[in-house]
Amino acid sequence: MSGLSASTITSTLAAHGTDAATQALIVQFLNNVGSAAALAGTEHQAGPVFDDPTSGSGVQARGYDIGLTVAQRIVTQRANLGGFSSLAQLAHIKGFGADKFNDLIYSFTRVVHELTAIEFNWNNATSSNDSMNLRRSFAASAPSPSWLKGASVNAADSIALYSIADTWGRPLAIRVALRADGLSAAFVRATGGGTLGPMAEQLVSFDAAGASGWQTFALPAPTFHAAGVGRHDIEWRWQWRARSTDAWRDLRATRHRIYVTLAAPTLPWVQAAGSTSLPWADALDIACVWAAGATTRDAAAALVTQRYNGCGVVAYDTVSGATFYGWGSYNLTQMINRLNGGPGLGAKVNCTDSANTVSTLANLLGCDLWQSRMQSGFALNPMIAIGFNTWAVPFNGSFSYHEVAWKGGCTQFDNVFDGCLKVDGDANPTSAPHTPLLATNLLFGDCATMNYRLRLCPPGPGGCGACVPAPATTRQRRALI
Amino acid sequence: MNIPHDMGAWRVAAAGVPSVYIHNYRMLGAELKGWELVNVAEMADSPGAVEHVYLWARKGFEGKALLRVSISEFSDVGSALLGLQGVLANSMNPEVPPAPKALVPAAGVAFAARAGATKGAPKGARGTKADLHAAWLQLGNLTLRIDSVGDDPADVAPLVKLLATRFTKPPTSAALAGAQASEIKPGARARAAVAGEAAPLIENLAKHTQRGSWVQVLAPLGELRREGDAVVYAGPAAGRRAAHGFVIGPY
Repeated sequence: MSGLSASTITSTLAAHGTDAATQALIVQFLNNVGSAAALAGTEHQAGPVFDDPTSGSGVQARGYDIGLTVAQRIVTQRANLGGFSSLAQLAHIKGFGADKFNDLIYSFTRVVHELTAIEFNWNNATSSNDSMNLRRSFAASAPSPSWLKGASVNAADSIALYSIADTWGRPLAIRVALRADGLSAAFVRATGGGTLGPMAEQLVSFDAAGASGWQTFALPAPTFHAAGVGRHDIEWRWQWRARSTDAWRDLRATRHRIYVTLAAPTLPWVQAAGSTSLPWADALDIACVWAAGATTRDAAAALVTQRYNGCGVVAYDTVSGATFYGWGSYNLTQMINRLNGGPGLGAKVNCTDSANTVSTLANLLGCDLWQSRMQSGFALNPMIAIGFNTWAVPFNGSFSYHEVAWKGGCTQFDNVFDGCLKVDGDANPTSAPHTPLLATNLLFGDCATMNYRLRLCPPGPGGCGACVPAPATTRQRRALI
Repeated sequence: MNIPHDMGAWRVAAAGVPSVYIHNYRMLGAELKGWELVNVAEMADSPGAVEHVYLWARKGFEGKALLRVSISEFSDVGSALLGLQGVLANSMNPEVPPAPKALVPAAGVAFAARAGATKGAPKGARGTKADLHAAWLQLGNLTLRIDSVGDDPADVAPLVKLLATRFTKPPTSAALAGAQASEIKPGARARAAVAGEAAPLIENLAKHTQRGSWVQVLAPLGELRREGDAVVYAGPAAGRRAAHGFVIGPY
């Protein structure tokens, strides 16, 4: 059998009333399909070419559409031609007869053929029912829409951020835009979806041009609320059918990266549209992984403190204890670069850099920490500085100041998270032996009870007595660059 | 353990050295032989300053020897001193010592520190007793800060001296004869200024730096400061005789 003639193909298209747009869809499909196997589909299952039930003797469930042998011949023809420019070029392909050509026309004549875009953040003003506003980084805004055909390939290309506290018990939804050919309506659903769950089928209407406009799809069963802080790469497999009794036909898969925080990020992070202080995905990539699974603010802040202190790419500046990542503002962009293996602004940090990092990343997760100092000029107990594993007393025994991530009013009655150093956690921090203790949610305290203050400084007026919280002049959340 | 930032004493010290005004200087990557410029970032630590940080990695040391160079351009000497004060106020070491005068004689105020000997550093990277691992100084309207920020300590002194020379020495006659530098002729108001009168010595700074060039103004005596888009000079003699401005580079 030598296949169809070019004139038969032309007359068949005319008989079906197949318009130029549909012909273009078929040509596009034949040119873009990756292999013969992809063209034939996984037999004996339907798709991507479907058996036309009104033509020939084929049975859909048995897969009598285009099989692997004919598909290979079509792919070979494509290669010989350097790609198809018209359907007439399907002429004289052995085994590609009227029945299979009808199947091809049928598959693309009444079809939902395109998932155009997905928007997670469809309401910039609130984040109760959709994703929060976010950016990709300080320098780059987030993609809008969140997912776009042709632009979004990997999960990290399509990002969304949900706050557990803001969305708990509330209906969540996304918006989706589709295109169809020859259909005024179709049922659409998505399976999979990981922590966001699948989407139940719903009827989508298409206008005369085949566009659905934005359609709201409910997320009926998200599971992220119970899982705490997290970063989840999910995939939805989108399907459609023209009638509720038809089998589901695959449209395509989409991949997305979902960030989950405990609550809306607090300052310096904001939700003001267009601000460079919207949550950054490159910061969320670190914070959500460091604090994965945390279900309380204290637990999240503690995990951020621990992971920063043990990150292995920064170490305390024993020369001068200088600030390297900013005191007027905090260059989080460069710290992220460093934490991700780049040079950043170098390997050295001090307490201000550490307080900035811990508080800023914790607050990104919904914690409520401040950068605040104790001062001025106080004697020290032995400590293990970040990046070191030995006990030492820096700078001839004193700090001019020390800065930590601090809760509440940053007074002696408030707890601290200190990513910069480990104090001695035993009964006598002034002398060996020492027991390393990273201060995570440790009361700053006074000079009478063994808390953070007496672990950092020895008793006496030059030590604990001089180590005084200074929230009035130093409590802040530095702006980000 | 007071932080040594007596601003009154600093101002006196800064007034005792020749005036320098630098505008739009940028490191481009060829300044330091044996080192590679691996990162450039803008900072925002001091209000009104334009601050760039350059991170240099010593070639062949796999990123373990790093120099962090911060160059902050202020409008005048007083602001640069405040910038230096900010560096000290945000350092936990209460006793960063003054720099040896020989390090940068042209600096108004300078501090320098060194780390203790580091065991286990690769041969050639280990610091010597003469090495400096941090140097912070005010030089004219600039605050310069060079720190060793790698795992292996690196001596910052050669780079400090290189930059100080670049900022305080006029272009060579060869550079002026070629296309690398040119002298900026003072405007009429500067030429007509009497001793002690502040007058715009160089106007339209933006025009001079359009192609990435930088501007250097040197005056043995008197004060240089930025006002709007001009460098203003107030000295014991008219600007034409007492101060010289150059457009340099870009290099």
